[in-house]
Amino acid sequence: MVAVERSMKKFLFRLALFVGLICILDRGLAALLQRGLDRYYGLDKQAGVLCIGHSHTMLGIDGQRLEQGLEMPVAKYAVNGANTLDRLAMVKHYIGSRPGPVRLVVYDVDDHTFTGAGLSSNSYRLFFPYLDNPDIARHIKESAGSWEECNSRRLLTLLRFNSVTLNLALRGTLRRYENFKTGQVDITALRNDIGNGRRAPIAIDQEMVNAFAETVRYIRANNALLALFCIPTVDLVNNEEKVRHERMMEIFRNYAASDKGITFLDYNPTFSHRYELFYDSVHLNKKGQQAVTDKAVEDLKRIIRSPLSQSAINKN
Amino acid sequence: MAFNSLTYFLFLALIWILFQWTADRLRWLLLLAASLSFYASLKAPYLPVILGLVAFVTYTVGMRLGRNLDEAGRKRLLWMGVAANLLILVSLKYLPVVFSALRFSFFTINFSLPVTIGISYYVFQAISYLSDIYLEIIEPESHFGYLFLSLAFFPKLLQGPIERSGELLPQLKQPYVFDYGMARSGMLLFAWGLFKKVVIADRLALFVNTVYGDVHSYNGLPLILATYFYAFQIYFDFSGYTDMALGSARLFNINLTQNFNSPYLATSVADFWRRWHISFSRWILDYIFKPLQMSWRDLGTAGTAAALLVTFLVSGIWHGASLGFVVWGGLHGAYLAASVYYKPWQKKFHNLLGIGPEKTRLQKIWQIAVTFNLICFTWIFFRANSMADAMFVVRHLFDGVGRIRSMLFAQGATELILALALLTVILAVKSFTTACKRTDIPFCLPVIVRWSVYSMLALSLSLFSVDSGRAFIYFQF
Repeated sequence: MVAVERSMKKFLFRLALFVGLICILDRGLAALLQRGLDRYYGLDKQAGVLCIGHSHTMLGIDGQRLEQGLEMPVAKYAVNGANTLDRLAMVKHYIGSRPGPVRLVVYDVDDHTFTGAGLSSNSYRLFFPYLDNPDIARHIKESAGSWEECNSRRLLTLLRFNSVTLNLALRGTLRRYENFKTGQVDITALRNDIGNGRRAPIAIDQEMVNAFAETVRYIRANNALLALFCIPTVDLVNNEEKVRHERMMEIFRNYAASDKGITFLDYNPTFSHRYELFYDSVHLNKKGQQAVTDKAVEDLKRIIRSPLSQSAINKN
Repeated sequence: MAFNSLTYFLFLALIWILFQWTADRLRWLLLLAASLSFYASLKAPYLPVILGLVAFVTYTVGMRLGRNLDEAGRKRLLWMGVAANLLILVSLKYLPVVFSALRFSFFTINFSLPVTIGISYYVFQAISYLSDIYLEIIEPESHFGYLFLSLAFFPKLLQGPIERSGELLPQLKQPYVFDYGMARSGMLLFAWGLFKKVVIADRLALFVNTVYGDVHSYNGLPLILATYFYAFQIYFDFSGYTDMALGSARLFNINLTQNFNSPYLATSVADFWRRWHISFSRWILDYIFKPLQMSWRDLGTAGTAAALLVTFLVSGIWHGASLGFVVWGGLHGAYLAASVYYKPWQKKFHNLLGIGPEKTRLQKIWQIAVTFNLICFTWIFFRANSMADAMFVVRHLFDGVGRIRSMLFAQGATELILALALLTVILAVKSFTTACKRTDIPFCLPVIVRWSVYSMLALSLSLFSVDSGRAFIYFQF
């Protein structure tokens, strides 16, 4: 009996030791990854320009090229599949956690900005690495399916990373920010997809509309200018639901008309017919990213140098 | 409460702690209560009542079988018990499908999928218990609580292994003494099973689902690769679950049956069934195939072939009321039935070529490859969302390279690299342990190496697990 008790004590002691070791390794490794991810998103610096968006921004804007062109720090906080609700949390996360002001927010908009379902219903999972931020934690709590999702990640911080965020964290650590997509869109396959009606229809979800309006209000309340940036998509896609596409663009134009601090930049007319710039129907390749970024540098420079921007600086 | 959930980890830890504090005479009660609450947690708290009903019927019939000495009466009692259990299974698993097809919406609403989770495993064990009493392999269990627990023991409740009461009951009754080795190996086995499930199987599912979710967009190589990936996905999913079940049970000093033995290294389809879902194969062999073969023994080879065909058709139907499962079972039956006729010809053919009874390495590799591909072909019907999809896959398997890039990179390059790297790791570990011919190999390593392995396993589980919330594939059966 004594031997059994001793063996049980030995087991429990070793188990506790192992759990302790795992906790240390878990926190240490997660901190390293977090640093890489912060660097990738530009969360490690006080940026003058904040680019917010999803994969369109990720592949469509070259953060470093933009930084050199604008001669000011740029943060590219773009998360694959981030919907309008995610972006509201992202904007609050960035602006709320910086000591200094952001002068300009470049927010990517497209036909599906208000499409509730379809873009990504579980994109909130990409924000788990920032679970300790109250804005992000609130957003995740509202989206998460079960209590386990958050609580397991509070216990084990490495669980907050998945293959996407792990990849970005490694890229941030290695300072590899470039767009690796060099392929070109297959127009024949795209025509077939459109012919087969395989593409998600453009829709307007009131929850998304409200979140977008709140994001605009939040940005403007923080004295930052806002550029609603429509990164080009292939014209075949835009023409598929032409009326709805135009309606969406009209909504963004109206936002710009209602507030001098908001600018709408639609790059579709300039680039959407140049198929050689696209990796697929809605994402730019490396060449496309360079072309779009060069044009963005010119347009954003104008906004930053405008008298309105100067007065915003004074207010801050 | 799935094995790969935080709730289960907490549940298991709590039960283990309580188990240590409970007196031997009450431990069955603790485990039974834990098993019933485990089952009740599946969003249908009334499920334990069904388990109780099956256990009660089985107990009553079992006791009477033990007392009745008249052969005709015993036979009648056995069939009554089997029929009562099957009636419960059929009413829960198949009637909703039939009523749904006939558009009796009341039943479809009230008997949705969760009700049947684990029921077939449970009923199968009840039937085998009655049969074993009838065949006088075991004595009837006079303690209802122990019998109920042997049927409902939570680690094996949802997906097996299908345990024989003769093997499990004595273990449940044994006085408990903490065993360091059992606890340690149980925890490692559990972690290894979890790794197989959440790191490997769920990752492979990403690729499989991309193709099988929209088969008409693919042809050729992506269909072949997706089918191969599915073969590994279902293996790692199911064997991962089994490892977790075995690991959980070991924490309570219970050894459950091993359900897998490198099935894709089988050299024939018959060999595959000796290595895949072993407890189920044994069950259908003992309780379906053997009685059928006995009844049709006058037909000779044809009788054996027919018995195999029927047995595997039943196995297909057991998996679910869909044509895909029936075809899957039918194909396995057909392979085995064909092998009955093929075997003598194979011997003649080998003699003609001068190949001796001892298999060469090349011959073995060839047989493994052929068997693996035959098995993979059947998985098409098992996995496809409909019979039309399955037929599309079969028709377009060899249509060139297809959209291979779009299949492989659908989840990004990182996911592909991770999938291949982790698959290599797990296959290397498997080859290493097979080569060493020892299952306790991790515990023979020096402490530094051992702890490094444990730590890497734990960190890999956190970092590389696929956040899919995917249930185990065999839950549905």
